[in-house]
Amino acid sequence: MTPCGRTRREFLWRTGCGFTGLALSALLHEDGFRAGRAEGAEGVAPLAIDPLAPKTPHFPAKAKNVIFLFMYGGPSQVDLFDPKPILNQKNGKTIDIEVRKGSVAKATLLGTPRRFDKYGRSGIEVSDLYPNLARQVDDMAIIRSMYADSFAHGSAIVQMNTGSVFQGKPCLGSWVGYGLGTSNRDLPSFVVLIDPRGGPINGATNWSSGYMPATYQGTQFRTQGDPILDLSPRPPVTRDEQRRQLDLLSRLNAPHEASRSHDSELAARIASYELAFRMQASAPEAVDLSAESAETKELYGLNSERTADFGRKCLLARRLVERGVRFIQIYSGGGHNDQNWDAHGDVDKNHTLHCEETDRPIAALLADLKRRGLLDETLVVWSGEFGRMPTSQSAKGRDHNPKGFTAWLAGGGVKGGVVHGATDEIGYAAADDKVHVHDLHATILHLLGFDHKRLTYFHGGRDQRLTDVSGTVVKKILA
Amino acid sequence: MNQPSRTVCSLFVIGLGLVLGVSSLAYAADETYWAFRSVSRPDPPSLKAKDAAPIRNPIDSFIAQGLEENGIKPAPEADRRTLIRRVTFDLIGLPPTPEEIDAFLQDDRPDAYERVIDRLLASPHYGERWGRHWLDLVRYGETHGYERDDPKPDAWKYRDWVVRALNRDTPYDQFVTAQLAGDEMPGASADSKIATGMLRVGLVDDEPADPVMDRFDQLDDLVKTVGTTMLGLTVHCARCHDHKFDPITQKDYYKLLSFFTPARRFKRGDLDSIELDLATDAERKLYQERVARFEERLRPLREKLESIREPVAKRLEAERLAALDNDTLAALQTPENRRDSEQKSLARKAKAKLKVKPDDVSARLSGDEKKRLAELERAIAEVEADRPAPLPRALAVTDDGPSSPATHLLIRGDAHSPGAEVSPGFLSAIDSETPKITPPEGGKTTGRRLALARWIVSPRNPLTYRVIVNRLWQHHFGKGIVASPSDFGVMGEEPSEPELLDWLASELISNGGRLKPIHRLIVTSSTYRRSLEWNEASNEKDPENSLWWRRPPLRLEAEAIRDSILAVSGAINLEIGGPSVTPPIAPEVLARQSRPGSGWGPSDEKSAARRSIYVHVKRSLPLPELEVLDAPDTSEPCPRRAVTTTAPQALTLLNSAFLHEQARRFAERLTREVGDDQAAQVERGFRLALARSPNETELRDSLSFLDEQAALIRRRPKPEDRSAARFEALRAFCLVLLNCNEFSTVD
Repeated sequence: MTPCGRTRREFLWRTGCGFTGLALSALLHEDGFRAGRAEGAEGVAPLAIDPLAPKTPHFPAKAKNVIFLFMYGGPSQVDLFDPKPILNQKNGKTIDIEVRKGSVAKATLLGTPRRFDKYGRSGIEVSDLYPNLARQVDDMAIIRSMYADSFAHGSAIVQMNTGSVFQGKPCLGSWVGYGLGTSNRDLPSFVVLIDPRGGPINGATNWSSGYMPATYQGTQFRTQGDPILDLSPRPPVTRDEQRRQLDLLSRLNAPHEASRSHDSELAARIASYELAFRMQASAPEAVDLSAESAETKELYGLNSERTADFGRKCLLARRLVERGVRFIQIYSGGGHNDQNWDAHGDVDKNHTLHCEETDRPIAALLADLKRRGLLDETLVVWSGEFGRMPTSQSAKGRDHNPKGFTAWLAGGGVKGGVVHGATDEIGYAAADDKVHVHDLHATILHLLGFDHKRLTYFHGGRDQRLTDVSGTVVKKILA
Repeated sequence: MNQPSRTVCSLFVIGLGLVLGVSSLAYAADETYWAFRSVSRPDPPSLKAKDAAPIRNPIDSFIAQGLEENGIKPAPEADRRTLIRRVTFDLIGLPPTPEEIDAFLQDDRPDAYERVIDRLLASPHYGERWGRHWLDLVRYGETHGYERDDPKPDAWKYRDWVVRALNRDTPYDQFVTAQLAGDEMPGASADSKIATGMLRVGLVDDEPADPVMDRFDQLDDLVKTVGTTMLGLTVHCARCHDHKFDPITQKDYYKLLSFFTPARRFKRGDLDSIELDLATDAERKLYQERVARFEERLRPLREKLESIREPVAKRLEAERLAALDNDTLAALQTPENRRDSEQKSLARKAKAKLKVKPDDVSARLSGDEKKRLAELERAIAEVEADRPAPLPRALAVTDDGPSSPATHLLIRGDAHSPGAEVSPGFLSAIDSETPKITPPEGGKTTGRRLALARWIVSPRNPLTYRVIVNRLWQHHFGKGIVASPSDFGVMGEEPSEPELLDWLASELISNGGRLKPIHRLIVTSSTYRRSLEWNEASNEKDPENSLWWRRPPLRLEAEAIRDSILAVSGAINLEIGGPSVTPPIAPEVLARQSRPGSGWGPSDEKSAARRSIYVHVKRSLPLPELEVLDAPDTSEPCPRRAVTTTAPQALTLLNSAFLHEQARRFAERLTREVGDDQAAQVERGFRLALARSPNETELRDSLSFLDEQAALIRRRPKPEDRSAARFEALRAFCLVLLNCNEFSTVD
């Protein structure tokens, strides 16, 4: 959120008093304005750079947008995408297992009651909890060997979003906005859609821009009512009245700005009010699903109570992609315990609910993007902050497990119908072709055209990266 | 004065350093790097030619010399109205009232301006304004952050301490020493112990992914905060390897870290781990005596009560026990650590069943017993009302005794790879002497933090005083003499006026560390009083205004904007200090929390209108109207605020419930103060919000706006009557004033 510790290079980038005072000045002369390189903070970019001006990545890439489906709470790999017959055979056996960092305890193996079948040309096995999504496996690259660093939701979710288990770093969506800018001025570049049951743990920290300016933080959209906080004039004030208010404002601002024309922050601020007024029309249009056909609504599950909410968000994500929004994050699950995927008590009951809510909408999203020719340029990512134990908790539940879990990607330059990596025989820890969160992030940036080692932001005395000092692109899943 | 070429040169040096793997090339080139040289006392230059601005004090001499050498003509002095608005915001963070402006404009005494300065420096709001700047540097938050984001007990006492210390003009050496070692400094007091809260107000992960690593992450937070804030160095960059650019070795890092090793560590669920009892021995003795007397009064009453209740309760329990089934009994008889999961569950349920509640007992008592019980309960309640108030506590730090656990250098910064043992030591490039550390009398602490504090505040420390005067300069001018205020290392900026920086630092040292005289010097200088006037020729020669030839307009910080809105609307509550307040937050925003509304019971209207420094700093739930205007993230020290300009800011300032309400209060105030005459309302509105009267065009535009707006309001789907429409139009006008660029910009 702040340019703390900003030093030499940033002063080159934006001298004077405020670093992004010109955030919107490009609006005043948008024609012909082309920003410099993605790593604007590297120091050679022109002064007066607009932080959200469209930028060219390091190399040509297919993916232009990302839809990140965040299964908050931690979905169980062995019940969804990672079949483990040996786990089922050993059901009920007691083993020693690391349940928290450095702490080993006795626990009982718990097989899955779900049935796995082969789907598509690729014949990838998916459990019967995801019957609709399973039909899309030929478009998906399933990583069965994910691992992360924390057993606790708080730090694990921060890591999946920012790469670090510590708060205060910019999240993936902020890096994408920083790197690519936005192609649509009338909408935010990074949109977050949360679950009606509540936000994820840590709240807005999960879409914070950390040490980057707030311009890059996620904007929460709602699917009903005003999509953005304070978007519309407060009733009963009308838009006509607000238009006149803005007219008076611009008349009062004009002479003040004219006598200070060398300080362009003031002009940028005038432009920001006009942009705000335009957003009052463009944001509601983006979330208005009435123009969608009955067939599309049915496809996304808008007609069924279970799937309507998540379905609306998936459909909205497609509409936002069409309108140039770079990064959309949708949370499945909110609040605490069984309101999300955190299945400590009864994993089958919990996952039956959350899979029912998401199965049809996600399948629809992939199919709809594909038939509209948008899947090639849209990267869809599905993951939780970690997975779950192969052992039982409270008889039928499963505890957190960052040592092995599943994530999948589709579209945007990803090879479909592949399985990457594997966990051990009981589905506990990633064993072959292990993929750390940093590696997933490096791969996502790669698909967007960035070398994750070169996309840097100078802060606190050094060039910071989303992937810190690690990260390897998972080449095997690239198309 | 050729900025770009100097920068290119430094970048080249850095590049070379990276290629060669040499960490301190830039330092090797000079004998001593500028920031590590002792603070000098340069003589203010005597000037040949007189420039347009009078030389009011040595600041002007240093600045005039630079301007003269570069042939730059400075902007003339700003008018008085601009000056009083500028200096009032700078010193107390609030707008001047129309009455204060009038008094100044009419004061023709030669020292009228100085009198304004004295009034502002003596104002208790000075500490609030400058305290907020300090809180940015020490990553001040009132919750731990992460999953639970629990409140830190009494964190606000530290905030109040900062405000108080600045208001008293506590010498900077004492200000720093108390925050590092207030528990072990000579004359340690309740007040100085509160000051150590600085070491506790950062992020704390109460369920760390790796507890061994977490210990060092917590210590690293302290090294980073103290290093950047007090020394202006990125010492923390040497955690995993020697600093890549500055002469700070990895060993230096761990030596510095070891000053904090003995400090008590946060333990989840144990308030004693992070709080200190503030009472003196005498107060504690008195308290213990009072508690003993209190218990003495209470005991006989309690005993009588139990003599009635206990036999009945025992009988009940025996009956319930007898009614349990065999499996449950077996479960209860199995030792706790040997029960299987079914037995655990049975035992848990049985315990709940066996528990005898007060109502169960009452139900079995005779009428007479019930009456006696009620009498006793009344008597107990009466005594309870006199229970002695608990001793005051505060979020604070102390050591766990006079000896410290060993500190090891961590190979590649990995807590699981300890290397050689290190002992406390200073930065070797500045001071290679071994610190003399003696546990203070009484032997409750190691004396390590006190030794560190003494080294930091020593007048011989080349960084400390340069760093703090530069921060004062930065907040008065928008940019420091060193433009990277927390990085005086080679990756930071060089001072644009090195002699002036040294002169100010030496002035601070020689005046005994008092900041207010430095403020006074700065704001009374001609350099500070310049107008915005643009000069193309000057700009050509110094486009970055490194020579301070003009004043740039500055956007107010989030807190100053919110406080100004409250001040102008008349709603502001200027009460000073105390626990933080929680102004209402829209339900849509609370919905982001995993437990919507948790930790944010909204304050009443009066408390909600307090200055922004008193708004609860909940890490996972920043107040939206502050967050959107670039209030800092509290994860790390913030030496310099971002200034962004975004559409969501405009939406907040136009449409949020807060602005809507404040515009209403503002309109009511205008009606109250000048009646129904629209021209008078416009005049008063301008004077309150913009510190000036409207010109003719503005008055005309405003009046026709009021008419048009009232007409529109009368055409709403649910139309208002004439007088309500007039008021709503005035409210809309007030909203527009609060949105003007001029309102949130200081010339």
